[in-house]
Amino acid sequence: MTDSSLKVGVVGTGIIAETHVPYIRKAGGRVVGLADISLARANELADRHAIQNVYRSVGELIEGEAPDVIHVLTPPHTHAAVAIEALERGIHVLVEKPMAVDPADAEAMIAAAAASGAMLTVDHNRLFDPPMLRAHELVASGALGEIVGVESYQAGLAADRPWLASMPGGSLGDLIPHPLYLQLAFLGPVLDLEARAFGAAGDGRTDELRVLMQGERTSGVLTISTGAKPWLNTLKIYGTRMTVEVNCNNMTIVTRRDYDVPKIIAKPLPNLDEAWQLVSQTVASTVNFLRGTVRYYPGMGTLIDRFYTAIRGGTEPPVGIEQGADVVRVTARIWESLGGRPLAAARDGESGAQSGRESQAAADGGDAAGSNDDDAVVAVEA
Amino acid sequence: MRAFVTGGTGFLGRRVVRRLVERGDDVVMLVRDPGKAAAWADAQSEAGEQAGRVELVEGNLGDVAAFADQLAGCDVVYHMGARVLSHGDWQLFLDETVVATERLIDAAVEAGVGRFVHVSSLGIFEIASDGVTITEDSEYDHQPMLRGYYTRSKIDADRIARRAARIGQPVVIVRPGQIYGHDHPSEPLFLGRVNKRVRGRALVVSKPSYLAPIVYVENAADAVVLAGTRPGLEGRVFNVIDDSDLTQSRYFDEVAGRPGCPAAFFYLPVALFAPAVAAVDFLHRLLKRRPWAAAYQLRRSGLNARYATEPARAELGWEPRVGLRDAVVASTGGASP
Repeated sequence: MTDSSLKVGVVGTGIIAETHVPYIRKAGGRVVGLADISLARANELADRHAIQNVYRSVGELIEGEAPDVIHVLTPPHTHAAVAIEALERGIHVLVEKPMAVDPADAEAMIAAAAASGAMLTVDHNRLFDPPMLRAHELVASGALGEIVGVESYQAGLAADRPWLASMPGGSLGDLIPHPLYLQLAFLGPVLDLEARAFGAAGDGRTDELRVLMQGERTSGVLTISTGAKPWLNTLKIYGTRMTVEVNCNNMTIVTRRDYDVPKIIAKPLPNLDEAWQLVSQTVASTVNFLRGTVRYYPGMGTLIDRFYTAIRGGTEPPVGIEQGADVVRVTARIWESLGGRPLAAARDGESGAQSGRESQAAADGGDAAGSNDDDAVVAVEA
Repeated sequence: MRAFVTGGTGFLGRRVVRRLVERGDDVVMLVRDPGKAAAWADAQSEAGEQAGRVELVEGNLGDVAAFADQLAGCDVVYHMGARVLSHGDWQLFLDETVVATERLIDAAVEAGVGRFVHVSSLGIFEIASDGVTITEDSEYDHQPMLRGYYTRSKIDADRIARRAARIGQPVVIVRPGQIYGHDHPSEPLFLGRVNKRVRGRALVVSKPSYLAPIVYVENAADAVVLAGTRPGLEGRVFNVIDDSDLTQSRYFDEVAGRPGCPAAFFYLPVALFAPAVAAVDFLHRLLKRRPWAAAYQLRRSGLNARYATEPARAELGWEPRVGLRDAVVASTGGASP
């Protein structure tokens, strides 16, 4: 650690903080302190990662350690309050996805960042997973031709978090940010959308959510499924010359195109090509994982690294504020399109009562430096 | 002055309470069993004409809320209580040491107490390399999970007290080194971290040139009382040992041949055990078990550290009143100095 290392504070010491801390250090940051409404939970993380200081709120953390950067890993509805408190003190902020729940909160965060000159970025980590970066390269190079459509698909069940009840759409809402930001990167500003919720049980609960979006550049479909197995997590980009499918679980990217070859091999060749792409990437990523050069949530590492580089060099952050805010705005429009009523996932009942109670307890804590954040689905990258 | 004391019946706490009473302070003392402590408490109150009174409050650190109202009207809290037993679930250490410290500080701040003295320990630090100098700002042990529940709980409690100090609450932290004295419940004298006796002689896993981070109990009590009474110390942290440069050989020379003590000390270098320990440790990791705590602790004891105490001397105004020889004599059954 050198004197030039960034002093980083982490607010919210839930599950996802475990992943942030090693990546912060890898990117040259020094974790100077943690904050959580529960000092006991902050202490646990501090013990595991040799962190010296714990605090009960972002205000205390700022007062005690004067960090250069703060990672906001609290429940989504508390992001704005915590981030704005830091931004107003000129501290750069990385906020977990979604940037906020209420679009008005996102606007307030944008205003706070603009007023202070501090940088704000959002942890849209999957944008920076190696296969996703490759997909963006292919698109930028023109290999796909014109983009004619995008599909993102996320199956899963949100981990049981006490704050889920505070989100419109509950656990379904928690699953939306990843597939949405992956898609918005290609759609551009959303001109129009239509969302439909489907429930097999017919009791008003939802197990499938589909959103049809018309963007400025192209159109797309987003699907959330709580029933389908395995819990697929994919993005497909359809171009006039090539189709690309990124599998975020397995960290693979498969391209498909027509071959100008005799008919006898025109059928098997694409299959063999696809198979070869999967085999070679699986071998490579397995080797990298075993060698320790790749860890879970690799995109988060790249995003944090680029954010710190931007802070040091005064360049643009990896994920722009507007990019973050768009996810919040479009999510709000999805709920609006569904009639503005809260959406209950088919599985929410299993933990709903408990969630409500814990959420209340968290709110009673009174401070925005809340409990935890977590990736929507259990990590199955391997 | 009115003082609230936890751990007042302990090895260090008894002396602190006695000094407070002699100063004329009234002491409210948290005890688990008032019946057992009553006679001793009464004796303290009769220590002299100017003596303050000792009041007993029944309670335990696992339930601060039950006695928090007793903090009202107190000027100082001396928090020396902690779970010191070597057995029990982590949850007990968490409740009685870590959470207790958090809640007690909260309650003291709430009650408007002007000073909170948290008694911590010097065993909490990371010894990153041989010969390192440890100061008040040095880092906590990087692997508290391998240190046993007592040390880990003291690290967590120190971190909580330091948070309060750093955000401007009137907390003062005192971290004594290994405290010795004749009535210590288990170890009246420091005899090295790993030692074995063979026919009246002691084998210690150490080097003669290594330092002995020890403090005589009466001297430690002085430091605690100063931390509670000297003005302007809010937010300060003090590491306290008698002599930063006391070598183990000088100390063991003083101890050798005293009543009940080994006649001589022989030093075994840690390096001698390193290969065997490394092999067992490797086996642990191979079998996907947790790293072997004993290996970690042995490696630790092979690293020499110097504990600086300048802040204690300069700002706390503390000097060890009892010298090494007198302290060793008193600790081995001689007349108390």
